[in-house]
Order: sequence, then C-alpha cells, then structure tokens
Amino acid sequence: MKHIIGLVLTLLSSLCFGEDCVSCPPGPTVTRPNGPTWPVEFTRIRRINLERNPNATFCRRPVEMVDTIVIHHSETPSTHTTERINDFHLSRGTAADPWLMIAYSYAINSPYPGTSTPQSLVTEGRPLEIVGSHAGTGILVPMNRDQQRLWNQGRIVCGREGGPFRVDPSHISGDRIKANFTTIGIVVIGNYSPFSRSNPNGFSPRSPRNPTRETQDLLARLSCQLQKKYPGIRNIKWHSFYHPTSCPGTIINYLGQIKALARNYGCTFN
Amino acid sequence: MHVQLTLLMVLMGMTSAIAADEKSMTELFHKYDMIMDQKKVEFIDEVFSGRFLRESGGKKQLVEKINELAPMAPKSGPEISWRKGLKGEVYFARFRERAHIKSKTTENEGSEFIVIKENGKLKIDGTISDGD
Repeated sequence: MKHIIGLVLTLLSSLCFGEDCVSCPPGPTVTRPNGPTWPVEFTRIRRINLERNPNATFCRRPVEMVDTIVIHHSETPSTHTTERINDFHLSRGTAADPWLMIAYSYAINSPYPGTSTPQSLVTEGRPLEIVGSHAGTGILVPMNRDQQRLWNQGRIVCGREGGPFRVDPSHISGDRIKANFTTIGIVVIGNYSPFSRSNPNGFSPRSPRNPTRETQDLLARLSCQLQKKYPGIRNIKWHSFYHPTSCPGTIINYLGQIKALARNYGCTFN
Repeated sequence: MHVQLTLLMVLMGMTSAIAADEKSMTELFHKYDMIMDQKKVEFIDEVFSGRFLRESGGKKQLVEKINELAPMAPKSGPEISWRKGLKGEVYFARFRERAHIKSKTTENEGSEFIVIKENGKLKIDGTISDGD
C-alpha cells in the first residue's frame, strides 16, 4: 500500500513540479525512486494570456542566462491584479519605445497583515525567455563563463515580433552585460513603503506594513521551484540593489527569512 | 478661405485641449502639494479618485496619514513631468521629492503617479513603482 501511495505521489510530482500546476495537491513529501526523500512544495502558478504590444522591441535569451531573482513590490494596492499591472506597463512606454508587457516574470498576490484578501496567488507575467525590464536600464553586471559562452554563441537576440532577431552589442560592455539579461523579476503586488509625498498609498509610519509569513513563504517556494528547474539561479536580490528606489519597501528586511525558508525546501540562495 | 478658417479653428481647439491638460495637471498637483504640505485636506475629493480613496482604506485614514507628515515649506510650484499613457485614458506623472530622513536630506526620484480622468476631471489614482 505504501509503495502504491509513493508511486502515485511520484507520478503526481513528475507531472506537477516546475510546471504550471493548476490543480496540484498541497505539498506532500515525495520519495523519489533513486534518491532521498525531500520535501516538494508545489507552487500553483496561474498562466494567463497577457496582452502584448506588437510594436515593442524585446530581447530573447536562454533561461540558462539567468542567475538572479530580483524582488520588487508594485507600490499599488495589494488587490490589483496582474492584468492591471500589465495594462499599466503597456501604457507606460512611449510611442518611440513601447513596453512589450509587464516587466516582471511573476506576480504574487498576497494579503497584507491583518487582512484576508486578496487570495494568495502566483501569476506568470513575462515569459522567462523574454528579457525583463526591472533591474535598471543601463546597469551592467559581470557575466560568468557560461553566460559569456551563451552570449558568444549569439543566443541572446533582440527584435520585434514577426521581424528578424539579432545580437545587439549595445547590451554588453566587455565582460559585463545589462542586469536585466541575467535576472528575472518577481513582484509582490502591494505597497510596502511608508506614506510620503511621493507615495500617497503607503503605510502609516505608526503601523509599518511588513510582508506576512505567507508572502515570504510564497516568495521562497517560487524561488526554490525556479532554482530546481534552472540550477543556475543562485541569487536573490532586490530592486534597490540595482537602482536608487524605495522598492521593495519593507520586504528588503525579510530577504534573510525568505532565503531561510527556501533552505527548508532544499534550495540555497546567495 | 472658409476651409482655412475651419482648419484654423480646429487647430486652435486642439491646442486649447492640450493646454487644458497641461493646465489641469499643474492645477491638480498644486492642490496635491497644498494637501500634503499645508494639510488642506478639503481638496482631497478634488485630487484623489474615488477608487484611490476606497483602496487606501477611506478618506479618514488618508487624512490621518496626511496629518502625520512633517510639514514642508510651500514651494513656488510643483516640479512634475508627465505624459499620456499609450493605453487608455491614463497619464503618468513623476515627481522630484526632497525627503527629510532624520537630519539627512536626500533627493528621491520617486515612482510615478497614475492620473486618470474621473467625470472629466484629472484625479490621482495611485502610484506605481518605477519599472526599471
């Protein structure tokens, strides 16, 4: 009987792990036939057809280029949907330089402390193979050997949908590349910065808003799931690491906890 | 001649429409400054959209937060730049803020304000994190 249950769970995990799992069971412990028991936490990821601007120029890359997850907050109310963020980002470009779609690869909805809405949800945003637009326009970071090899192979190309895609050398300088090419963005939909003249939807300084344990856990699980699928993803950073900004607000104080939670799931991040 | 006059009137109409948006945007942020800097909370309904007020937890909560802000010296005028968004009737405005953090004064290039038209008037509908 135990073997049958183990087999069923193994089958389920092979179907669900790392995929857009719409109706997977909550995290069981799975005994892999050829390995030790390790906790498998399923992160349900909602996949929807987000509108794109067909006139936008964008770049494609192998996901193996990615080594860093960058955490953001949207600075909007927590009840905003991924679709609404996508609409804002579509609107934010200029006629000369339109944005393709939402800048982030994943959006997390999660209630604020003391509230029960919105329902926790992870939604896919910009596909991982499409370079995001969230880690500083011109910020350059060093490439490791594998990333350099992928660049030299001409695997990172830019263009417009339906048109030719080409290598664009303006994205590198020596052995450094624009940070967006080696990162993916995960946005927590919500406002985790204090109320101020430039942030009229921020929290009152008398009652700071911190990410709940549930939000931290979602970030940890999603990050771990990504690392399991793409082992080159080894770092978790934050928006203001790349660019002077208040983003991601108080979430920045919980990155240690998020990495610790990820360790519980079997993932290690720098 | 008739055609030229008509064209001229159309052009003048368009120019005045653009000028009205510039004027309306400046007015909006002038009132926003008065709310934030001088606690003139009577302008709240003129400045913020109904949706913003609902999503912020209501007018009362907003007024409390405004009153907690350290007062700032009134400025000669709001320093904003703005543009119309590509999708829908939405505008994005950017602010340069001098943020007083204890004894340090830093310049914070903040996020963008989302401005919409509500009943024909420009209103602030929220902010969104700088996307890059």
